[in-house]
Amino acid sequence: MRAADMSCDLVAGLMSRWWDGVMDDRDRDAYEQHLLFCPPCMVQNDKARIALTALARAAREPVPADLRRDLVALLRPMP
Amino acid sequence: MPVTDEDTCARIGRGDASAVSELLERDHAVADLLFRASSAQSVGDGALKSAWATLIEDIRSGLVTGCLRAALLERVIFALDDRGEFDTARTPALPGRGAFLAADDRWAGWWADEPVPWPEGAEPTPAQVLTVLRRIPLSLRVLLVVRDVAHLPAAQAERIVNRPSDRQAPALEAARDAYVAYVDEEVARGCGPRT
Repeated sequence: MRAADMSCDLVAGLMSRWWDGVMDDRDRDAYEQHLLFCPPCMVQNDKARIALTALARAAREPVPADLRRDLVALLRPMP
Repeated sequence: MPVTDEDTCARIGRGDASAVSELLERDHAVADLLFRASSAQSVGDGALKSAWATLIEDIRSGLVTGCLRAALLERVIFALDDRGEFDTARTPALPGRGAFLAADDRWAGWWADEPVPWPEGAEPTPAQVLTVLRRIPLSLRVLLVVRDVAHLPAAQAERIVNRPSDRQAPALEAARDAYVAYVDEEVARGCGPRT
């Protein structure tokens, strides 16, 4: 597929595959070239990239001390 | 040499407390996010603690010998199900990817309403991410956490999301589109009225 063949709705539909890095080289080039000449698609792609990066980093809760203690207690040999 | 899950299981089987600590440090935050994204608002964290305890016991008994993150997340989902503590609040229809010009338009397929950029440096906070996750239908938010936060491969996610690996991609795509649309709303709300 060429960049000129890609409409904005098609680009939006390919975002998930682009994020996963599973597009073949030709389609990825066309996708990224479309972004270069289409500011609205670049804006939308940037939002998706930032939002999905934040999602990937959202798990940050520290380990509660009581949970660690309770699980270690399970390691004791049964009487 | 990297520590494998099989090594960790063997150490826990021998009663090595440091192996439990290392596993907690690696996987607790992901399990906690899955729990908080999927559970009803008013419940305590008993299901999360139960999932951890069950996992350690299953490792000790030899029932679990690897794929520990998947085994833990599966136990979180099973514990919530057993206790009837899933978030069952109704969610609205999923938002689309945006508004595009119709087929009879000269510019068919191009943006009808162009996306508005976020302010420079804007990004969703972890609290906003959790709020957004909870707006997405339960099955899709579980899929999002399991695939895009825990980074489990589709095959390991199957039992957790109750969806065969070859049917996860379209659902994950829809979940990501909805997530991005809701994050857009949250970030806009957090930044005040746009000019």
